[in-house]
Amino acid sequence: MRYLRSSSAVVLALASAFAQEPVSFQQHIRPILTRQCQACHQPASKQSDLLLTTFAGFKTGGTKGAAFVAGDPGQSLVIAYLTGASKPQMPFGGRPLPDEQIDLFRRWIKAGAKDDSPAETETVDLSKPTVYRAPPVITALAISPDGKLIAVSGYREVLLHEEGRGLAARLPGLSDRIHSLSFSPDGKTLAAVGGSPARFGEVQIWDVASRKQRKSTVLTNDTLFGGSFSPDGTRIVLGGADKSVRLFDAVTGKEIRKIDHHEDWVFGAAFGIDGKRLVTVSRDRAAKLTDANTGMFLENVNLLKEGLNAVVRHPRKDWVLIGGEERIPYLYMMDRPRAMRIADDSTLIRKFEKQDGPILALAISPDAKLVAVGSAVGNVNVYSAETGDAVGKCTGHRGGIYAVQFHPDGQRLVTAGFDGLVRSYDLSGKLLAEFVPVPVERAVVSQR
Amino acid sequence: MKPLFAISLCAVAAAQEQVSFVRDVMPILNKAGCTSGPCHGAAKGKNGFKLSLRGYDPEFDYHALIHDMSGRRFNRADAARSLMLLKPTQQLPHGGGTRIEIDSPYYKTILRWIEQGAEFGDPVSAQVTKLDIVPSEVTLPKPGGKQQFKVTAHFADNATRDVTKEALYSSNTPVIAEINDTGELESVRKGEAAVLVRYEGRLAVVNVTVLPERQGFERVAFPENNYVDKHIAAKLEKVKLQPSELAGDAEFLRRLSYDLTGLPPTVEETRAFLADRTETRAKRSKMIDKLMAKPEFVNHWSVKWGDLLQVNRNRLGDKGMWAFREWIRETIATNKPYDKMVRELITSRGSTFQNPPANYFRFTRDPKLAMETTTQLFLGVRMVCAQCHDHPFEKWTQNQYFQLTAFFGGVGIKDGMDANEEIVFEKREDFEIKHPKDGRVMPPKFLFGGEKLTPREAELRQSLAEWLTSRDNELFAKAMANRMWSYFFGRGIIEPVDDIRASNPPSNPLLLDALTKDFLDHNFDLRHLMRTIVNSRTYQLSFRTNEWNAEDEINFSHAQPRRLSAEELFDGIYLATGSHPFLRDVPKLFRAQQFPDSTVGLGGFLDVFGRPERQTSCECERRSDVSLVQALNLLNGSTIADAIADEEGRIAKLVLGGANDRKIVEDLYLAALNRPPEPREMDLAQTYLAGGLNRAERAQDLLWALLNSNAFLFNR
Repeated sequence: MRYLRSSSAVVLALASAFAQEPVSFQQHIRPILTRQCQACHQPASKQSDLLLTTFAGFKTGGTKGAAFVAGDPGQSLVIAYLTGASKPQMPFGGRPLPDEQIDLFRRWIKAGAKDDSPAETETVDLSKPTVYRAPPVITALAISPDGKLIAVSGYREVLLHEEGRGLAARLPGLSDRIHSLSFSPDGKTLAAVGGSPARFGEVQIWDVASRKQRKSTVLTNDTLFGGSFSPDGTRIVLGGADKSVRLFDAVTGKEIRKIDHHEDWVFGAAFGIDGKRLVTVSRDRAAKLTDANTGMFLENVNLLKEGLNAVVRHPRKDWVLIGGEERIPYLYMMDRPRAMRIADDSTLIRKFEKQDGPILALAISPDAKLVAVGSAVGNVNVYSAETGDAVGKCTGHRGGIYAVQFHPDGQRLVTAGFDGLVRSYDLSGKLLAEFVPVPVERAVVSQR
Repeated sequence: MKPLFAISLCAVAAAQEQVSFVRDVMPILNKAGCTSGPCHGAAKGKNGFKLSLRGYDPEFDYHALIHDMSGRRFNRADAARSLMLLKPTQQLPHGGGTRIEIDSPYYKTILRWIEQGAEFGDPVSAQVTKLDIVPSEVTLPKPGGKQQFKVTAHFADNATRDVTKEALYSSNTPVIAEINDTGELESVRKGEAAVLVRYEGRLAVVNVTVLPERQGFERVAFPENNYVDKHIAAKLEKVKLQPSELAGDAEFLRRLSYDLTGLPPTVEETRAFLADRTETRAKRSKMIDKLMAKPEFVNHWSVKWGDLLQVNRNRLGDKGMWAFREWIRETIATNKPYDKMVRELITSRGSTFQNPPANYFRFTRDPKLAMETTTQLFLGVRMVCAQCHDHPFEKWTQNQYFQLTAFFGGVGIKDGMDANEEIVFEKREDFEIKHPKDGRVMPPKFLFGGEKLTPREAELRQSLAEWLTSRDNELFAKAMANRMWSYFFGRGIIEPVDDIRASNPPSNPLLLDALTKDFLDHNFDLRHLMRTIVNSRTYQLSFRTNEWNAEDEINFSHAQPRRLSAEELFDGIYLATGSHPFLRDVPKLFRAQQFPDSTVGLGGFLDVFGRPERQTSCECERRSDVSLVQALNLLNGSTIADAIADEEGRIAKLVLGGANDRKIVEDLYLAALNRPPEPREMDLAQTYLAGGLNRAERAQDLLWALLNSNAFLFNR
């Protein structure tokens, strides 16, 4: 990925171009495409199936054909659309380009339409660890099944902390953000799911013992969310900003299936007890039950009310706890005891107290007796799963709570979120410990 | 919002001024267009990212930028890689194009804000209390002139800031004066416009006058009948308009008669008035008093109030309609002070048959509708936008919408003993009005002012009525003064009359203030207000224009011809022809101005000419347009044809009574156009009458032609 760092470069480029120097794609054409065209011809909208964010996309063209014919401006679609010879004139709905700029396109095509853009490389240097001036927002955390390790999201990395001993390893990766962390049931594998906003999504599979990345799969144009392992540890399910749900092989990192039942971003996913079915939640308001082996849609688990952000499964039953913008956590059965009717809510087991903000994180204790709820505002609240009564309140957070998990020992609760601190509480809500998971370098001051 | 990372970032913060979201970042989002209606301010946002419309809810916007999707849009670890910077600079494809340049001042402000910890800032001290705009009024000598504004914001903590760049500008009439993004005004053609300047929930208006190039313009004397003329003369002089001549007696009498009684003068009244040799002002003044004492005056004004109060049997039932109509007629006949009338409506309770003003709550059945109707009718303020979001062009907020609605939360309606009778009562439970966003119970609160009054829980509507009709309420008397003016000139000093807002300024503010004060000084006496207006020279000017004022539409330099309303036209036709309509449901001699509602003669002549069904309290429901169907109806329709040919009508009587041609022509002109024919017209008409065998039919042709002329169809 490249970043156009300076608009003055455009001006200089144009000025020099008028002196009849050779026209460069990188120097002259690309800045115009960026400013004038890519708002509509980008992965998210892709009008006429034309992608103008890369040279390859420009060359391939869209539904109307190749955008240019090297050496022949007269036969090139891009010239016809820019001059208005073909309708609608581009840029669509905007002012036509000045003649000098259209002329740059003509001259570049005439001279052979060469691609002089540098090779697509990621600017992240994985050998240099991120330097933090402030603790980053924590978007995900996971505790290993043996309770000895806690994995926490950082910026472009995952941090592994050892119980009682502090930072044990830094696991740098491509993605700016890690939205979900999960250990395999045997504790040997760590899946990190995330990406860089509006750029790409990534699934990272780490070997916990060696701290080595076993596999990185980059896919889609935006971040991925809500990764979780199948009970047998062989597969990972996750959701994406592209509205898809995807299943991955946990060993090879290969995609097994893409499922497209949701109509908006998918924020959470979980397997059923036997690993044969999935529940996924989305901003489209639905918690959808899907057959994991065929990808077939089975039914909606919930009544559609408001967008959903989180889902977690009961440790021993096919029950799911879901929550989102409505601020109310719902505990549902995955299975329907009788044939579905219109507006049927017979699978609802329990509704919990309404939270102060949209629900962002949910957890169920290992003995299934407690549930914990983290929201955009306020505290992490703990409830009895059986009665719905409030039993604890974990206070002290500043800003939203994005990750909540019970410790495998069943005695503690770990939380993290906007304020960049990891906190651990006992089950009544008493704070036991808190720490900043990243090394913060205070001496660095902004250069700007 | 609590500051975050104050400790770790204190070194940075000390070196630079602390950037606040509310004070520094929000104005950038608004100026760059992020929060605009077509972009992320849309009801559903754009591409999953939603901001409040025009930034009316900074807390929501802060949450969207900082907390949404676990902080996706900002990046504390590497501020320059925040999505909220990469997108608007097009470093990443952005559907909205390039909104902010890299390294521009706006870019640096947002970057620094994130680096400093992205704090919300103190919304109280960052509240903008006032906008100063220099210049505060603009007069440009001719088209093509330019003027740069300077805008200074004053904050609650007494800080000030030059926000010329960040303010948002719009012109209400860009064909007269255009304003660009940076606050530079350019005049396009002569006329008047208002520039609206908005900054963080505050707005201010600058009136712009573009003078015509008027070589050889000379002001003429404009004798003052009363204070109205003083303010009109001052304005006309300023914009170089020469007023029209005083209208002749016949022109004046026809206009006055229609405006006060909804009917034209009779043949006899016209003859007598023209023959009267009394000094003009005194003579006209006497006629004004005479017309205001007629029963037709009550008929005419009860049509107007019937429209505004939606007197309509579909809503009120037959008995309710007649009862409400009778209450309105009595209110007009006794010249009930306007504040008293409004108090009776707002505080009404009990049976809609026994206490007719209670019908007010039959057509405003829902508390929100009652509030919207009340503000639009009596304050000229449209609150409807604020139901869903803060009003984009006004200061009204969504909170205010529901706080004001809370006054009507307790209005209950239940069935009475009689069929179709309803009882308005105070609810003892379930009367709270809740905010739709978070279910908060909204306490009743006056829209503005009201410092001396406190809403009384047990008497909410009484409290509201006291505030509404109080002499201190800056809009109550003003809205009525403006509305009343519009009935005599075809447009308000503020137009539309029920859309009073800062961005819709009056064309003559001093005049409106003077009328308002006079109305208050005379204890809300509506007849006094009318009398003052029609006694002014301004009202009595001719519709005929001169070289200098032909294009004037807003400064009242001449009378503006208005198409007669449906009822005026209908009654005018029957008066001119000496005939009577035959309609079911009403007594035989009822005029249209006495019809109780629009079910009388439904679908006929009156509806073609824009009689309203009375479904809203908007003046706009009564249409005054001119259509092809209307033209065809006048040319070929049975209403005019049958009335002219009535065997007991004017023509039949004249012809059978042995009138000579001269008498016939003179009477028909006086009956239809309310003036005697000019000599040339007399010759032409006489020649026509004498030109064939069937004299009666020829007389009918003449009357038909007169009724189809603009001189008949328009009040001018």
